[in-house]
Amino acid sequence: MYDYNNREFIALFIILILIVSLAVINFAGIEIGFLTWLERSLYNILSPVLKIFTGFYNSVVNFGEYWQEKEQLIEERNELKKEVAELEREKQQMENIKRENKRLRELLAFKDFVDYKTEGAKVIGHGPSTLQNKIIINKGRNEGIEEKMPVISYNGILVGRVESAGNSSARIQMINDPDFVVAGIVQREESRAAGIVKGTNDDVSIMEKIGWDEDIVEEDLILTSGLSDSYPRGIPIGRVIKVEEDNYGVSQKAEISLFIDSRTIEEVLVITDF
Amino acid sequence: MSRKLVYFMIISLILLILQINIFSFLPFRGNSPDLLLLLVICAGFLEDKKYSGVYFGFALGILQDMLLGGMFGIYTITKTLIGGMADLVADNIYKKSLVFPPVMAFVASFIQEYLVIFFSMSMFSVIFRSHSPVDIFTFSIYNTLLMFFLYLIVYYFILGGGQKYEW
Repeated sequence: MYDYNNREFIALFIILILIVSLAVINFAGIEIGFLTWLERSLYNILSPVLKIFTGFYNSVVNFGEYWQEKEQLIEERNELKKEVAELEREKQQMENIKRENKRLRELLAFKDFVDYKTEGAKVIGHGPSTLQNKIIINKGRNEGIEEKMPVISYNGILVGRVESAGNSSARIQMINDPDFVVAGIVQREESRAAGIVKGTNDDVSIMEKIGWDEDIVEEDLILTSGLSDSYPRGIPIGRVIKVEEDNYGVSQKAEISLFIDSRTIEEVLVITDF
Repeated sequence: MSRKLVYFMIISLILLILQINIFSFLPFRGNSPDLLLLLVICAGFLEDKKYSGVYFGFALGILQDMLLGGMFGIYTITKTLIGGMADLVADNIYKKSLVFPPVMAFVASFIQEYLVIFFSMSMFSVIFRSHSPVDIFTFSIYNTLLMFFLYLIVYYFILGGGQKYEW
């Protein structure tokens, strides 16, 4: 006869109940305040330690690179000086074009493009799973970062969105996370085919729900469409590498080669206002 | 509370930090190891308490799920199952052997990845374009290699080669 007063049996039973409850909560998409608080607290505790470890790791890597690349850096510095001078000249030209553009926009009563307000952040860790693509950054609510804010790289490519924000760190869901979805549009003026871009845990995402008669071909550039209000329009996502029929010809789907590499990304910009 | 249990808790925190920080910057063919999974197996093998693998699997699985956010509960389920597996085989292995834990790590890595893919696809309808058997094999090999060193450190250096400690 089994001893039902056995503490081990009771502990196992509680674990089973908790697992089933978690599965139900998750499957039904119920948000529980306590769990969110617990998650944020965990990040608040971990982020100072992560920053120390990242600092240590970077200083070790930088120390090795410094001796290897000293001469190369001097050469690069001289090249960059020339480049800066050229860019200064181009900047002057751009200022003139900008002024002219503004004048013409006023003339035609066009709505002004608003620059994004961004907050730069460093990657201090990755999510503890190879099947989900998340990164942890060193900025959080104290710096004005909130959930659902879009995240881009320094060269303006879509990286993902803020999934959870602690006080001084935040977790970013990357564009190639299998749970990530964003509305995309073809850049070509004569096309503008739109669809839903889904992450696949790979460097290639899938763009679905493209109309069967829409004009989309290989090498097309895919941008955020801005339809959902969650992302500004016009942020580059990737390039089409394959187009095929979907749903027995009712729609099309395309494979998109992403511009970002989730494993090598070191710095990001969080768009705090757009 | 036994000294062994305290050691395991401290190691858990250290491995968690290493997994999301240092090792995430050192991927092997795009795969980072799952140090928490390795610790669940170590706990199942080495902690004297009955069902210790299940308890550790549950605790570390919840920790991992909390850090990942979405699809909450998947790692709790898989790690608890793997902890249970480690408990089942713990009585039948020679604990001083450095061969069996890495073999167990290899098998457990395969099982965990396939279970996570299965649950994610069936419950959350996500697409996994990557993670072919080759990717999972690479991930498992990385874990297997690290398990050799982790078991060596935990069993021989931290737990003193199986000597009993009591506080």
